[in-house]
Amino acid sequence: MAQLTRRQVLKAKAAAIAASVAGIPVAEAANGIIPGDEARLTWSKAPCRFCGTGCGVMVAVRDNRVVATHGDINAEVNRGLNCVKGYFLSKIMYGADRLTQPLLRMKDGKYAKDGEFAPVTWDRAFDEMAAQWKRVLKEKGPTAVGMFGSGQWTVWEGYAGLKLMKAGFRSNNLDPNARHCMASAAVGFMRTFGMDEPMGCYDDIEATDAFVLWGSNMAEMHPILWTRVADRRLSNPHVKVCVMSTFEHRSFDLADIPIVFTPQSDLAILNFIAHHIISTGRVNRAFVDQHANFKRGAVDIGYGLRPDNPLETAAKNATNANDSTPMTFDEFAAFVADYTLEKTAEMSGVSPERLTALAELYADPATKVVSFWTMGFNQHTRGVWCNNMIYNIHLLTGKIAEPGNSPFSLTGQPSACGTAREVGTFSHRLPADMVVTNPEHRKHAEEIWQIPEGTIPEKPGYHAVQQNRMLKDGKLNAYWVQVNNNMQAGPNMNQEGWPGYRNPDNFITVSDPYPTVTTLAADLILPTAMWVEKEGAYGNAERRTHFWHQLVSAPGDARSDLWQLMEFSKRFTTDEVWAPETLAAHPEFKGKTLFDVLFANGKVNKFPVSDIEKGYSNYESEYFGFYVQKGLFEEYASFGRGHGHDLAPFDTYHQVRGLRWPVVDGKETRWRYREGYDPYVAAGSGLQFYGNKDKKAIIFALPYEAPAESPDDEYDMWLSTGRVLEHWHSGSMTRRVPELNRAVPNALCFMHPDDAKKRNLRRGDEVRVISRRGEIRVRVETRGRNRPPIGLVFVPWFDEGRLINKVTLDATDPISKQTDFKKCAVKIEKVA
Amino acid sequence: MSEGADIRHISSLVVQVRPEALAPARLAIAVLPGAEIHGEDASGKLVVVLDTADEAEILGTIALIHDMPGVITASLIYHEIDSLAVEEN
Repeated sequence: MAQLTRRQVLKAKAAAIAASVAGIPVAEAANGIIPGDEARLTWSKAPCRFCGTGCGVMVAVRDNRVVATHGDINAEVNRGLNCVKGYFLSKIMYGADRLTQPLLRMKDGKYAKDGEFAPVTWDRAFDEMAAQWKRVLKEKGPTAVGMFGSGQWTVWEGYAGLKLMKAGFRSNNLDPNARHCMASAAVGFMRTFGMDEPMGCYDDIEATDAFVLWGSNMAEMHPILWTRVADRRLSNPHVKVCVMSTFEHRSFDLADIPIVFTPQSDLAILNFIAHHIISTGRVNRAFVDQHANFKRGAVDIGYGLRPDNPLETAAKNATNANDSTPMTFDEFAAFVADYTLEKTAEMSGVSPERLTALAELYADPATKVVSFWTMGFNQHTRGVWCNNMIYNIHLLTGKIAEPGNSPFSLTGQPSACGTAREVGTFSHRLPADMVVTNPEHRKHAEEIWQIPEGTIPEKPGYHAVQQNRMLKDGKLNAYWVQVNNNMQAGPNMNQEGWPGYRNPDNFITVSDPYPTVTTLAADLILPTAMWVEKEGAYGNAERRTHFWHQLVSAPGDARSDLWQLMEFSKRFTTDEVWAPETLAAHPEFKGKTLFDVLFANGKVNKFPVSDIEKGYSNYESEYFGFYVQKGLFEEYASFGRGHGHDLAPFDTYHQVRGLRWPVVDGKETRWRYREGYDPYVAAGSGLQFYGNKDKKAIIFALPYEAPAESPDDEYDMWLSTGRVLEHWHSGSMTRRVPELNRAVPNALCFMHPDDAKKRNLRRGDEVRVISRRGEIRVRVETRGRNRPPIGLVFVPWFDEGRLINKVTLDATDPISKQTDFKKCAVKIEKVA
Repeated sequence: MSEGADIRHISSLVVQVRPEALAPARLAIAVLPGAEIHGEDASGKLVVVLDTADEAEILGTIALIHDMPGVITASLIYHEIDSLAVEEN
């Protein structure tokens, strides 16, 4: 018998695993048993730390250290696949500059805004922070304190943050970085369906005949879902892929219908498709009559800039942007009839043939179609409109809420859905799609939280962009940032972000595992435990809630965001933060700490530490003396159970690879609103959009309106920003992985060769990218993965050495308050 | 993780290729240093095993494969670090 070398065995094993993932046979059989380390590794499941796809990974631990990860073959989402970032997960926690103790700006042994960072104990850190918050609360009240959270918070961290701010400090100034990411998607869902999040799921990929990408570069940003799309396309030749963007990128490699359109003209294209469906007689009238209403949305709604901006004073409906009035189908048909093929081709720069081919994917009743979108739609001053308008065309044809027919909003963060949206960590929201402006919703939340009626303020707080403006204006003075790098991620940092954080009136706390541009702008830095250093739960883009255990301990004094929130709450008593009348009416709360009221309330502290699965540690629970995550989750889940947001019992999620809510009688829901799949749909009705009272969705008539800023003679180029495959968001994790950093070390300015030539530029030359707000220096790339058309440049934002958000504009969608990072005007000058 | 001369990195990839580009892609990958084709499917999938000195070389090879005509995705599936010292024992 020929003896296989160890190397050959290893290769055969590697091949066999890849083949099983790909579903192909290989020549060699896997031996399976490799001598060496394996016996000393403990493997556990976890979701990936990065994007909103929600891939499952297996994590190997040895001696309290994560040493390896691989795609989880039992995870439905990725079936054993991992993208290159996911592969390097095991290294994200071990960057050399990991923060391990609190750092406070000090001078002469005391806190000073202009002091230097010095290490302090947690006690010293929280003493100073609590003193500052108490000073601000006393001087100005709850509207002057605030928090900026994240779609990377675990479910219970977001829930604890929400409770602490809205019920504890009585402030709605809580917003997540998800505001930058999918606020337009969330508001779009609420406006059309009365209920957030997609009706379909990833299983739509294998059931459809056509994919349309609207401003989404899935090949780089959702690579694992892209392998599923590619698999469907390559193994089923009838399947078509249409890729739409304002510049060519890697996803165009798979495109049957490639479309590069003029920025903002997606609005016209969406209306043209609706017109094409109507004018060719392909409206599904039975579906529309039964399941849809028509409304005309307010127009001329402004650009979410500061109120004194000339664009805002000129806008007729800047303050009532979300308004709408009923209309008929015939009125809607007349409205979209303006968007003829010829006019739309002219506005978009897309050939009539390609526009028609695209429209036919939707109009042809025999073609099932999935629409995917991310930041191209959402980061848009008319982002809510785009979301409404894509639903229009799925609703007109009835191609929705069934396998393969799916308008699908993808997300960028691992728990943008699970935490930011479902928990409701926005300035206007409460859990399970409820809002602070609705007295019934506030009352319901106060009952579940067992706090006095009237505790939750009714006025929405400051949203993300507004928080920076209010910091600058000195109206928001005590501020806590967790799990995000908003100084790098937020728009217009020169004019708003930086002056806001460094305003001497303000005390800024930033919690992060690593030093970032944002921690540099802080007054107090808190070192944070990350990913599998704590027990966690995320919710991905297809409504899948998934859990993981704490697998290793955090380095030094780093503590999870959850521990930080709960421990900080001990430093405040109700007398310091609640109104005297409230306490007089409810004397049982007098003198209690916020920790007692919010967390030791008989519900959150209900489950003993002994409930934790054997073999796993749990720092927070051991510290506080009860199973913190289970108590918080079960209290939180009581908001949604019985209301279409049902979550399974806590312990179930530690056993499964995630479940898609609503989970009713132990069964997940793959397609919402459709009888036979969704238990909330009444028998015999076929389909019900039950988020709205009349169980119908709304088709909105919305026009094309110009962007906030367009190129002119002086600032003659469009600037679009975005991500790259190798880095995730601001790079605070991926830039600590040497291999990823070496692969893509710096941001480049992608430009058309003719535009470069015109400016006497060659590939690799250094240029200044200049807007009316700021400038950066960056090198030119005229080849490679992104190929902009003439007149547009693309600069990714991961690079803290080249902060493109010094250049971007803080124009937002007036309804969703999400920034348009895809369109502003710049000029490019060669560095002499 | 220390890395030295006695360490090899064995990894496997699934590469998705447009079916019409499968044959030239197979050839182009097979001649890359340290790359072997271990399986394929006519719909446009290749199983590729890499034997490299370090992780940066894995990434470099993935980038090369990704830029080949007709290649849609190149996904890293499995990776193991092999120490020669163990083999010699």
